[in-house]
Amino acid sequence: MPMAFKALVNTKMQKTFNFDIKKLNLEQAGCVSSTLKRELTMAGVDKKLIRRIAIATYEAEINMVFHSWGGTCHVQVDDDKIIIRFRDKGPGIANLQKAMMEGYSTASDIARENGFGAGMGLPNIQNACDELYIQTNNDGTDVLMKFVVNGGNSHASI
Amino acid sequence: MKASKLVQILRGEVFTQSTFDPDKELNCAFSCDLMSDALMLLRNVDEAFSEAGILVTGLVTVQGVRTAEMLDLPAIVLVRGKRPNAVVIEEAKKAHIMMIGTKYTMFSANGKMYANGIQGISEYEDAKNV
Repeated sequence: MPMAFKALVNTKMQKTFNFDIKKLNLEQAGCVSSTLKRELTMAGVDKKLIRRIAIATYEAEINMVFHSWGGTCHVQVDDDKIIIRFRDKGPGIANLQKAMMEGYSTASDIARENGFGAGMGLPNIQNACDELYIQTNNDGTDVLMKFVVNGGNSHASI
Repeated sequence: MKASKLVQILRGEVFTQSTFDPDKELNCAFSCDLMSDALMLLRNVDEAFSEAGILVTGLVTVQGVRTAEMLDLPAIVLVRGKRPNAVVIEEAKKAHIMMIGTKYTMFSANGKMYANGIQGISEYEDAKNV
């Protein structure tokens, strides 16, 4: 595990949420992001930050529903940052460098029929969060996003 | 423009009576069938846009509702006579989103809204920068 991952996941946590996400569960796709958005709203998190989090988590959730074999979402809310981790069971992203480019897509027809598959998912996530780390192989993909509370900007790194 | 006027100019049908507020001001719109476009381009809009914003789309699945919800948009206009199923309507109600249908195509619906003063993100940003 790279140092950046370790540093982020080992911090003292204040509040956590855990969700399961199932493959091709179309009607439930987006429920995790919706639930998280409501929780953060109730917790009084800044509205603009909530929107960035909602966009990033929704795109990640959609990716997991349409591209993976299912997985989990773990959210850690601290005073100064919010860490969100999506981990799925595969098959992984064949070419991560290309997947980060706007317009590159390997989406299925079913994703396109649901309004996704334009090749904007990962670029959207990158633009919405403050830091982004992705590890992927045949066994699955691990997406870690960091959002800075108070004064975060949209310059993500990978 | 009030939501009631929007329904009038689109000869629209309200699918979510319980969340329909005829006096709600709807003054901005974004039109797309690809939800990532909306998620990308409306990421940083201010509250004045999103609180009065309409997602105009031909996408009739629950993902249109989710996208509007993530972007804090209070209304969806479904074009080309598309009708949402009961699950989609229920999700819209749960998210406090009003859903309006029109038989007009995307182009015609957009034209009627624009001609009646509803701004797109381009005009909205231009007006802010003047």
